[in-house]
Amino acid sequence: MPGFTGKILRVDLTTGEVSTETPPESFYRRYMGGRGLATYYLFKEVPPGTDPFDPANLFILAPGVLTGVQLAGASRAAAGSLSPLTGALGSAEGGGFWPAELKRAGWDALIVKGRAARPTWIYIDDDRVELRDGSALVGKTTGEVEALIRETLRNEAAGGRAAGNNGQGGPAGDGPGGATVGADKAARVRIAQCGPAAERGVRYGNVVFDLSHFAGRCGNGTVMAAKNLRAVAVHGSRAPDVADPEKVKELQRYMATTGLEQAAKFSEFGTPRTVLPLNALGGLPTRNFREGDFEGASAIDGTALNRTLLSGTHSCYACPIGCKRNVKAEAPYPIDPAYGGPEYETLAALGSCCGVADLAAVCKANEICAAQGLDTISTGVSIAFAMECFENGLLDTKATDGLELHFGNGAAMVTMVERIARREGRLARLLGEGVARAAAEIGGRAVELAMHVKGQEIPMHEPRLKHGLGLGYEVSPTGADHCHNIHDTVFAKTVKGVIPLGILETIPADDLGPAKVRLYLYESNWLHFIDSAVLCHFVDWSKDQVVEMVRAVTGWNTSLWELEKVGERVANLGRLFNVARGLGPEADRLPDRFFQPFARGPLQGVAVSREAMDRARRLYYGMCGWDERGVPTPAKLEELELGWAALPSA
Amino acid sequence: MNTVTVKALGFLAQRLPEGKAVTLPIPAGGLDVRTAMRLAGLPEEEVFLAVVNGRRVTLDQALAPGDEVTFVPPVAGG
Repeated sequence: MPGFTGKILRVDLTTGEVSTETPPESFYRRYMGGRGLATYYLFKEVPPGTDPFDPANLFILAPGVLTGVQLAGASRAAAGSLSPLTGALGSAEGGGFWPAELKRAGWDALIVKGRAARPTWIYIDDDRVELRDGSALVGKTTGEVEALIRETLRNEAAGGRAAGNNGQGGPAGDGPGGATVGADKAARVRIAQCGPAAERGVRYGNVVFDLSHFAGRCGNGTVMAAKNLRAVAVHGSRAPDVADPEKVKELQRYMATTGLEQAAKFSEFGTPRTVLPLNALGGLPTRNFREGDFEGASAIDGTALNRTLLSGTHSCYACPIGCKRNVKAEAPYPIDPAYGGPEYETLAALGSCCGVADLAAVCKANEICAAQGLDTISTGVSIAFAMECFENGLLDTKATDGLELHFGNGAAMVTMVERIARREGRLARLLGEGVARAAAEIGGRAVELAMHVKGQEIPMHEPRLKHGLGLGYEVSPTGADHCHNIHDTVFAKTVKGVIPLGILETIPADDLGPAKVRLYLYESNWLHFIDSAVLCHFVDWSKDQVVEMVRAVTGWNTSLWELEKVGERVANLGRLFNVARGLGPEADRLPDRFFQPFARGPLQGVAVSREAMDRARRLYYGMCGWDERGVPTPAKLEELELGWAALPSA
Repeated sequence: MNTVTVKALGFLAQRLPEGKAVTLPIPAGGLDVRTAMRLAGLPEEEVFLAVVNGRRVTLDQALAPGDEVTFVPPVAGG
């Protein structure tokens, strides 16, 4: 069927059972895939009270109805689970080539439950699905795992199964020794994996697609590792069908001409170019969010990167923009370009947020995170937290095993990343639990220095610059998040992107009035749809073009209104998922630091107003159709066709 | 020297000739930030704010010899 294959691959690693679920078309129209699909299955099948490390948790990889179509940005999948970092909804997206390959293999999603008795990797070759022995992969970097899997498949292509591979036939299995794999498949197979840091139990293990693309947040990689699942290798041989190929071609032509011109800003410098502008505005998180501008900003900006360590760029599936960076170096830190290069979030989290102006150190830290499978935002903020604790005498050199963990010490930052990944030393083990748990353990003033919402570390955007984004940090179902969120500075200048939602006037970045709350509501719901479809946020399709895209791919007579409602549905189901796990309005809170004014800098004297944020949050609940505790009302659930999800009354 | 220096950040820098800072003379009647922006070829709809010598200013601000004015685009993130 155009847009979706109608087949979800279900794997139970405890029993070894591999099966297919075939939801009706209406399921895809209501939930799209991606975050929508993941939230639906997590809500239905993971009972409240389940521990994230328990085999009963699900690990989900889900592309969406648009994934795999030859259109820029249609390259992504969601990773989903009950998050070991937050105990709430875990949902993050990544790109590259793996997501499209899963659709080409004829699957809309992979849902894994249980836990394998031994380390395992899954091989999917169209409708052949095999659970393979992954003992050789344990403890290996993501780069080594890719090489080992390709070598295994190449050896098989050369003749017979290599010893040690214990394939279980899937639905089309040939039996032992009978499966053959083309040598070209070994080269073309795409690999999703968690890293060795996740194997060791770091709570913010990410999911890695094709070595340099990451579904970074929420610790979904940690859940994958807890199931003894290290990698999913996919080969798919059939491009997804589309309902209206002519319309798709028209959109391709647009992107190849006008679209590409407008994307020039990303092609040359990628997201790293965001460092200096945010710094000038006073919104570059610096030294654990104590400040908003950094004296070393020009050393870690995109222009500096292009001038020094950049060795090339690369793209995702079907995208001509090429925003992804490659970094190569020999000394003082050897850096392998196979792992790509730092995005803005990484340059800030491991750079300015740690007070580090050494670009080589930040790039090395990025490489270690990629090789070990660590979310760079959580890693950077955890180290920044430790640095501030150290400077305030809450940690000494005995606690840091000799490291002078001051802000600005790039070498110490790199060492700490390595230690967190390997869980070496008591402090590193603690930081690998996330700042919330680390602060609770250290005690005292440490709790004030832990920058998180719901246990997920704050990303590299400053609420004292972007106040609506601050509201988004508070109420996001996955904890603090900058992606399904608004960036107020854009809407202070232009509402071009949101006029079709009925938002007609610009709003100052520091405004938290009703118009800002409405903007946040409408745009974040739209982004929940985008993260279900799953589309890249950086490709500048207009909302009208996205509607055309969905119509052209699926053949549905859809509208902006219907797609906005999908987003609202997914946001409400996510909220309900968290309510069922005991998260109440007290979890929708920014750390105190943002309510304190900057002492200096471009935003000197500026703080988020507690009263304004509180009023905005309560107005948001009301606008959502939630009660005063932020619980979706029965009427709202029925309106969104979520009546089946209503929680039993207390 | 009776000049000001104009810089731009982020993607706005691509609007400047060769992406480099521009030096503008201050005419007899004076020079404000908005005029400097236009003379440097920067479209107003792509400018979020201007900073002169490190401080945020309005587009009507008059410029003095030796001033450095930096134009900042509206930025989302990454």
